Amino acid sequence: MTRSVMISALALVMCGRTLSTNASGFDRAIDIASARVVKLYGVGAGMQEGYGTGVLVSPDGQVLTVSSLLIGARQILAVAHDGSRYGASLVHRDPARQLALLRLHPYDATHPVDQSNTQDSEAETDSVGPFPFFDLTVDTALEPGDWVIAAGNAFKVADGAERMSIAHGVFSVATRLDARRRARDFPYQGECLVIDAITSNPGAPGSALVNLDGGFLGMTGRVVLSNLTHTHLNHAIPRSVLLDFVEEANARAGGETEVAMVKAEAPQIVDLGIRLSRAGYRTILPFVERVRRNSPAARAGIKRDDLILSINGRAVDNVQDFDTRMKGTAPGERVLLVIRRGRIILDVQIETDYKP
Amino acid sequence: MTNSRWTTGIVLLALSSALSMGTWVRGGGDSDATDAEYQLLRDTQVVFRHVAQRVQPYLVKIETVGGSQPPARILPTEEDEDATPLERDPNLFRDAPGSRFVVSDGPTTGLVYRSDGYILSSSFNFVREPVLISVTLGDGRRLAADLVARDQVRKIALLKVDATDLPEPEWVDPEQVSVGQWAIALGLGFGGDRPSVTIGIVSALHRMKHNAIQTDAKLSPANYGGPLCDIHGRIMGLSVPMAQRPGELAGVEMYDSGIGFAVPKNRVDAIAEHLMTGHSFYRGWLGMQSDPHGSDGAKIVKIASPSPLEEAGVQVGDVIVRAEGKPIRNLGQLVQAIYMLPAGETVHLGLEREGEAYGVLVTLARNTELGSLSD
Amino acid sequence: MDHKNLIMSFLAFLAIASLMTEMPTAVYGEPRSPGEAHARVEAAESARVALIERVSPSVVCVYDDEQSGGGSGVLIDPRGFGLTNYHVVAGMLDGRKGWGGLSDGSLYRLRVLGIDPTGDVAMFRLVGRDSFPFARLGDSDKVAVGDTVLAMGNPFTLSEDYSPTVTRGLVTGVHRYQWGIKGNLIYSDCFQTDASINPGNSGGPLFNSQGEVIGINGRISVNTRGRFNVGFGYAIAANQIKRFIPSLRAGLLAKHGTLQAIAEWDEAGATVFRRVSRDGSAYKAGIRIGDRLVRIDGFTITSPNHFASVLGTYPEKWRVRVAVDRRGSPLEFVARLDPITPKLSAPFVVDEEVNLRQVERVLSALHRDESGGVRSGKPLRLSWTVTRTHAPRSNGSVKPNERFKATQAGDGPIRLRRFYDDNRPGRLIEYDDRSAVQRIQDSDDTFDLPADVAMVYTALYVVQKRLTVPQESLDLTGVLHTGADAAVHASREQTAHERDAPSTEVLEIVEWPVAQHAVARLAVNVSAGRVAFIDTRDIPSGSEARILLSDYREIGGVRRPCSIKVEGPGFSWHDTLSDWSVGP
Repeated sequence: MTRSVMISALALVMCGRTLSTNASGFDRAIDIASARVVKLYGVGAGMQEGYGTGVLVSPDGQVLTVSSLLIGARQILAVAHDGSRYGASLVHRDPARQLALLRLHPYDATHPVDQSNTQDSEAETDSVGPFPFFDLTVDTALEPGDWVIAAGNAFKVADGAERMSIAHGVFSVATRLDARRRARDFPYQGECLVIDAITSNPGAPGSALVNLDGGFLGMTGRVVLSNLTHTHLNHAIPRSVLLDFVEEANARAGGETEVAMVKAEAPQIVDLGIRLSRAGYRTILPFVERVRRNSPAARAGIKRDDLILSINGRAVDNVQDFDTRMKGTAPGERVLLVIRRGRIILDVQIETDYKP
Repeated sequence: MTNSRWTTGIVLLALSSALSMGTWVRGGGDSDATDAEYQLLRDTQVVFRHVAQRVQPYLVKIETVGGSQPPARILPTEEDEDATPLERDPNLFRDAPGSRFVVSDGPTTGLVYRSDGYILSSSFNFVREPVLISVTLGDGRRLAADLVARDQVRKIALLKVDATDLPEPEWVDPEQVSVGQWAIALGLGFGGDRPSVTIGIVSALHRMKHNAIQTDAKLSPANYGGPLCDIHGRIMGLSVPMAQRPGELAGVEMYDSGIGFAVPKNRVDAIAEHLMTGHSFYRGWLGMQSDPHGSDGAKIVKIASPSPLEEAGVQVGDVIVRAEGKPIRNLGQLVQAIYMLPAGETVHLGLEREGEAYGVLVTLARNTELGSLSD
Repeated sequence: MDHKNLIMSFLAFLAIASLMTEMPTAVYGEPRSPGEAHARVEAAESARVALIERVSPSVVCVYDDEQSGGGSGVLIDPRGFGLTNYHVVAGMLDGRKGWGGLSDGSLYRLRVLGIDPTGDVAMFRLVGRDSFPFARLGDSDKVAVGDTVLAMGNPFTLSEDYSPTVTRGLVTGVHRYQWGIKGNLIYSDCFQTDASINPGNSGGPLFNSQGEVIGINGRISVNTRGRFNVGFGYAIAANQIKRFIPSLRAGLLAKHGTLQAIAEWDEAGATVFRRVSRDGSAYKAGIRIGDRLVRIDGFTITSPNHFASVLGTYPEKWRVRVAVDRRGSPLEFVARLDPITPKLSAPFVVDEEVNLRQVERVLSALHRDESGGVRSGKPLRLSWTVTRTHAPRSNGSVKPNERFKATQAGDGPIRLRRFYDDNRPGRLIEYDDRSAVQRIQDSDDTFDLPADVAMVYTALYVVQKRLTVPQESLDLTGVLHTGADAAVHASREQTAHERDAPSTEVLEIVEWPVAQHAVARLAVNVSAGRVAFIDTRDIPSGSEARILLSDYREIGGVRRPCSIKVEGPGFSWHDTLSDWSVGP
C-alpha cells in the first residue's frame, strides 16, 4: 500500500507534458504500448532474415513474439523504445500456437551470442533491464466497439529510437481462429480477437494490442487468411493464451530451448454411424443416406435424408468437405452438426464414441 | 546474491514502472484538453456498444450450402464463341482484381427488411449460387430462406423466410446523413452470435450514381449485407461491395481498405420493391465492341445483332461522344457512365457519324439477349 | 534464475497492478451515463461534420487533360493556387494542362506551375472563378503522434460530383523517412497516418482537427494484397512545403538541398559523418569526417535516418546550422546547401510568364505604401549618412561619417556621391547595369573596383534602385523569381538567441542580373514588404557578398533599412544609415 502511494505520487509528478491541441485522447494508450514493444531484426550471416515486433512481458527482458522465420535467425537484434540495443535469444517456441518467447541480453555486434548458451553462470553479467512491461496476469475487460491501439514496427518504418507505428481501431469480435497461411490451415485454432485496425502487414505480427487505458489485450498474430471470409484477418492472440504460453515456457526454461514437434498420433476416425449419399454429379451434397442403428448419430436423432450444413461451425458444402471436417474431430469429442430437414434447420449434438 | 542488491532492484523497478506509467496518469482535472478527448473516446465506446446492442435483433446470420466459386472472368479471346461482345473487350476487364477474389462459403450477414419475412442482404453473399440458404434470426430461430431476387448491379439480395413477426429496424432518411458522421458497420461473417463491430465515418454521399453512401469503416465479406448504422442505432445503409465497373464481384478487392459503400433507404426501397416481384436486376449491355485506345470518344468496331444499339439504328464506325449528358472521350468513360444502369434502363447516347452529331435513346439489354457480333 | 524471474515478475506485478487497477478510475471518476455519453458524442460528431463542410470545398479532384486519370489536390489561396503531388502531374508536363473539380460540382481549367520532383510536390492554379475556397497550411511542427486527422481526396477517382472522400485517422508516426524512387519522390520527415489513403488520394490534404492542412498525402505502404490502404499512409509535412511554395508558385523546378555528406551509425550508436565531399557545402562550412552530428537547426538528430529526414526538407541554397561534436568539443557551422538536381525524362522549362508574375508580385510588395496601395511617382533621389559601427578590419570603401547622395538621371547610371563633413563633394561611385561599369571616381580618375567590394556596391545599388524607382519604369528583362530562402541563419553574426528563435518566415528570392557579370539576389519578405538581405555574386570571380538590411523605419513615406550589415569573403562591417532624405 505504501509503495503504491509512493508510486502514484511519483506518477503524478511526472505528468507534465505539452499537449497538442489536436490530441485525440489516445495518447496514454499509445505511450504505454510504444514503450513496451521492441523492434526485432534477424541478423543472419550476410543476409537479412526479416524483421518484426515483440512485446515485453517481464522487467528483465522477456519478449513475446510470433513464431516466424525471424526467430530462426542466427542472431536477433532487439531495439527498445529508447533506441537501446539488445541481443535476443530464444527461450521457447510453440509451433502449435505459433508463439515464441525471447530473452534479451546485452548486445555485442562483434560476438554473436550462442543462443543455446544462456546458463545460470552467465545470468549475472547478462542481466538487462528493468524494462517497462506488460503484466500478462492482469485481465482487462473488452467489449466489441471498444477502442484499441496496436503498436508495432510494420514495414520497419521506424528505426532506432524512432517511435513505433500505431494503428487504431476498435475490437470487432472474439472468434475462433479459422484461417490459413498460404495453402495450409493455420495450426492455432483457439480464440482470437478480431480488430478493425489493419495488422496483416509484414513486421506487424507481435505488436501489442491495448485498450484506451493502455491495458494489455493481446498480441497481434501472424498474417493469415480467414477461412470464413477469405480476407486477411486482422487479429490478436488474447492475453490469457499468451499467459499460458509464457508460464509453460518459463516452467521449461533452463533445459531445452525448443520443444520438438510432438508427432501427431495416427488420427482415429470418428465414427458417427452415418453414410452419406454419394450419388450426383458435380457437387455432391451431404445428404444422409443411412443411419446405423445405435450409432452416435442415431442416438442424437439424425435421420435419413437430413442434409448436413455444418460441422462444429464450419460449413459443409459437399461430401468431400464432410470427410475433411470430420478428420479435425477427435474421438470422444462432442460434434455439433447443423442439419436441414425439409424446411427446418436443426442443431444436433453428437456424443462420439471413444475407441481405445 | 545479497539482499541489498535485491532492494536496489525493487526500488529501480518501482521507479521504472512509475516513470513509464506516469505519462498516462495525469492530475489536474478536466481542464486538460487531452483528458476531455480521452473522456470523449470513452463516451464513444459507450455509444458503439449501445448501437451494437440495439441493432443486433435485426441482424440475420446467413449460412449457405452448395454452390461454388463463380467462374473467373478471364479475358475471353476473339475466338471465344460464348463470350458476349463486351466481355471480349480488352479494356473492360484488364483492371478487374475483384474477379479473382475467392468467395468463401462462410456465414454472411443479412438485415431484416420487413416483419413479414423479407430479409435484405448483399448479392455478393450468393455469387456461389448456393443450393440452400438457412438463416439465424436475432432471437436465435433458424429458418430456411429463399432467395427472392437480386440486384447484380447494386449488389443487393432479397431473401424471404416464413415468419410474420420480425422486428423492423429504423432507417435514417438519406437527406439527414452528413459527411463526417460516425458510421458503425455490423456483421456476422465471423460466425458466432455477436456481431462484429467496425467503426468509421461517412466519407461521402451520392456515390455510385447516387446509389451509395461511402464510408471508411472497414467493409468486407465479414459484414457485406449488414447494416451501416449511425450513433443512434439507425440504419444509414446496407453494406455492399461496389466499384465503378460492372461485375458481380467488383468492389470486393477493396475490402478493408477504408473504401466502402452502403445503399441508403431510398435506393433500397426502390430496388426491393422490384425484387419482391421476383425479378432480378441484371447488368445492362449496349452490345458492341469498341476501340479501347481512342481518345475522341468510343468508336464502335462491332455491333451485336440483335442488340440495343442495333435497334436504335447505330452503325459500326459511329463514335459515342456523350452518355447521360457527359462527354465521353474513351471506352473507359463510357463504362463509367453506364455501369450502374441495369438491363431495362434507358441511356441517352450522343454519337457522331462521319462528323454529323445525332442522339439516340437506348434500352440496355441483358447479356443473354445479345446476338453475335458483326462488323 | 527461474526464481529471480519469478520474484521480479511478482514485484513488478504489484507495482503495476496497483496503478492499472486504481489509477484510471481514481483520476477519471465514474463513467458517465449513456445519455450523457450520447449527447457528448453527438456534439463532437456535429463539430466534425461542420469542420468537413467548411474545409472540403478547398479539396480538388485533379484530372489530366484527357480526364483518363488523376489524383487530388488542395487550394491554398483564393486566387486558385493549389498543391498536389509531383507524381500526379508528372504526366501532364507536356502541355502543363489538366482539370480540377471542386465540390461545387464544377470542373475548372488547371495549369501546372512549379514542380518539386524530389519532394513529390507540385503547384497548380485553377482558373474560372474570381475567388476560390481555400485551406490554410498549419504548423506541422506541432503535430504529434495520436493527433486526429482527416484525409480528403479522390481515391480511385470515385467522385462523380467532385466532392471529396473524407477518411478519419490518427497521426501514427512523425519524422518518418521514406526512401525515394530513382532519387525522386523522397518523403523526408513525413507524417504517417492510419486514415485510409488509397491510389487517387495522392496530392490531397491531411487536415488536423482545426481544419488546417498539416500535410499532403502521397504515398502508402502496401502488402501482397495490392495497391490498397493497409493503414500506412504518408503525408509530406506542410512546413517543408512552405519552404518550396515560392519556387513552385514561380513555376520553377524546385531543388532540394544537400550537404554532400553521409552520416551513419557509429559503434556507440551516435550518428557520425562518414563521408564528406570536398566540393560540398558541408566541407566548405567546416564539417569533417568523424564529426558526430548533434543538431540541425532546432532538431536534435537521433539517427542517420533522422539526419536524412531533417535535411531532406530544405531547398537548395538554404542555410542550415549544423552542430557537431568533434572529439568532445562542440562546434557549430552554417552550411549553405548544394542543389540536388532531380532526374526528369524531359527538361523542365520555366514558364516565363508565370515566373514574371511572381517577380512582379514580390517587387510590388516593396512598392506598397503603408495603406497597401501602390506607390507611384517619378524617380526619386535619396541620400543618406553612414555610420560605421562595426568593422573588424578596415576595408571596403565606405568610411565612418561619410554622407552619400544617390542620383539618377533618367535611365542613366546611378550615381552615389560621397560628401565630406564640410559638404565638400568627395568620391563619386557610379553604377550602370547596362554598360557593366561600376566605377569609383575620385575627382576625374576612374578605376575598377575589386570584385568583392564591387559586389557590395552592386547590391546597394540594387536596393536603392528597388526602393526608389517606381515599378512601372523597371526593366525586368532577365529578372527571375528563384524560390525561397530562410529568414534565419542569414548572418554569421546573429546572436545565438536570434538563431535559436524558431522561424518559419520564408523569404522569396528575386534574382537580378546586374551588369553582365554579376547577379544580385533580393530576399524579400513579401507580407512585410521589405528586403531582408541581398546576396551578390560576381560570376567571373565567384566572389560573393551579402548585405543584411534591418531596422526598417518609415522615412519619406517609405520603409527604409537603417542598419546594414555587410559580409563578404574576408570582410564584414556594420553600417548605421541615418539622415535619409528623399528629393526630386
